[in-house]
Amino acid sequence: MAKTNDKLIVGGKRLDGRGFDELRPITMRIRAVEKADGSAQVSFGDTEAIVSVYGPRKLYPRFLQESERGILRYRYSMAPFSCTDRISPGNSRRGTEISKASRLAFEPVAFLDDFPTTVVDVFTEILQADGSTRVTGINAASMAMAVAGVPMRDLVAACSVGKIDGQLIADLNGIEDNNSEADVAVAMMPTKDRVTLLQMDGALTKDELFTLLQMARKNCRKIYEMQKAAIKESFRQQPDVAAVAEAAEEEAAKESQG
Amino acid sequence: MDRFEREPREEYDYGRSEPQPSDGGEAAELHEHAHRTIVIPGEYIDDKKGRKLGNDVYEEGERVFAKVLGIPVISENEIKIIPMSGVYIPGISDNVIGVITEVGISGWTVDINSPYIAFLPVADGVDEFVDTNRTDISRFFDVGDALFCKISKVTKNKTTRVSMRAMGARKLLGGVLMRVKPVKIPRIIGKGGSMINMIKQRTGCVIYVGKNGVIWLRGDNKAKAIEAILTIERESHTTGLTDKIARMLGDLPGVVQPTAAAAAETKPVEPEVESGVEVEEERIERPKPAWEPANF
Repeated sequence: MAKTNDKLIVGGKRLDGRGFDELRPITMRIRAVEKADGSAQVSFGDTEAIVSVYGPRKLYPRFLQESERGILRYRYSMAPFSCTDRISPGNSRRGTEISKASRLAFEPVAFLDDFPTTVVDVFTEILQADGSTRVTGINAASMAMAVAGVPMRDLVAACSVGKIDGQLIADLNGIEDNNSEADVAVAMMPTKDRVTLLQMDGALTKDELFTLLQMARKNCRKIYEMQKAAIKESFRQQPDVAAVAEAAEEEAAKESQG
Repeated sequence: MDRFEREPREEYDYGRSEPQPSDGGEAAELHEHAHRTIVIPGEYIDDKKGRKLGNDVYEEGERVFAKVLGIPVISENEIKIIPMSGVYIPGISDNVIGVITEVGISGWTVDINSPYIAFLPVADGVDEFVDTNRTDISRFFDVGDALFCKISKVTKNKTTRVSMRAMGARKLLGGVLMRVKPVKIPRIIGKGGSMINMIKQRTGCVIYVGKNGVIWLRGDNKAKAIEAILTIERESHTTGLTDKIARMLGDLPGVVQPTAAAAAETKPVEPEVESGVEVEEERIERPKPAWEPANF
């Protein structure tokens, strides 16, 4: 996304009409990839991430195995079609760096000691990029790992916060991300109130950073509630309409005979 | 001679009890109530109050939390979770179905559908004395053979050993193997075996269920049995499943009901080679049995 000289805040609101602390519309669903052990698809506005999780499973090559614990392999990748300019497929330095940072966001959360010599593979693919892709990926990965049955201390909820035109905001979209004075990615264990990822591009005063952390904390809690609801809703019992109808018919038939 | 009479004893299995996972009942029932009490990782369950903790929960001080997505089971003595998904982790005394992947000198390597590989030592696989210096043990079990066996040991690093010295352990001949999520196995077995026995009776198939999520089936109607099992796996957390499966299976052609003669047969299997009779999947060759089948 190109840089712009236009104002990012007009009439006290952001370009897309949001308040400073407001998240974009969020959608979440699990089992997006049926064959994976766990999967999820999450969108924040126009940013869309899909994650598949496999594992714990046998780790090859053997020299990567750790005898006392399992390892986590996290791959963050942007699809070539995710931006208006084609992204060259394959590894990029940015992709490798985000993969590592995201993996570190989950290292203290997963109970890897329970699975010596194995690997949990997390594949995060960004299908559409409009700012805050790594945190969208982390939100989806957290749900996918839960659905796969990977033991964790908590879910991980993540969001971006930053500063545009001197104003502190949450959930940066593409144009805000590219034109921000500071862009901070935060991932947390929401119920433990602990931060597992904190990255920043740009410049902030100490006070501004702490204010942003509070904003991130509040929004991560909101995101956590959505993650929880999306997972639980998928397991809610669907009334078996056909069975109920048949049972009603049988009863009616019995009554008319008897 | 009627081919039916020459069928090996295992073909019709009615009335014979198979080793079953002991928690089929409770877990099966609880799957039905998933919509009411499912918890996500990190969710608080209860205070410990001196109780024993299961595998899928963790404690912080006095408070107990879930490690995985599942249904909490809280009793006077224990707090645990019935997980909704997860890989199979070998547990001692589990009955599993494994496939031989390597033939070694003093034993076999067995794939038990787990991140952890199992080993079957020759002494636990074969009843007779085997001089490993002279014998090629592939004459007992070869690569690709499917076995119904028991986990005899699991170390803290999850190195696993299996054994054929167990009630009902055997090599599985012919038939097909299928994989389901290991956590769905209790629901597939049902309370006291009710669900799997219904499937067996209505389809006339021989079915062995491994706790590791591998199921072996043989019989003319196995396609229907497979469909029923996959339906249970998909809808394990709904109610009315038993009736739905019963309706699905209905009455199928060619199902032989148990006769008094078949049930009374308890003689050991004679070594037999079926010549000229081609079975669907492969020639069923029966080497002399390595152990005396126990009376079931």
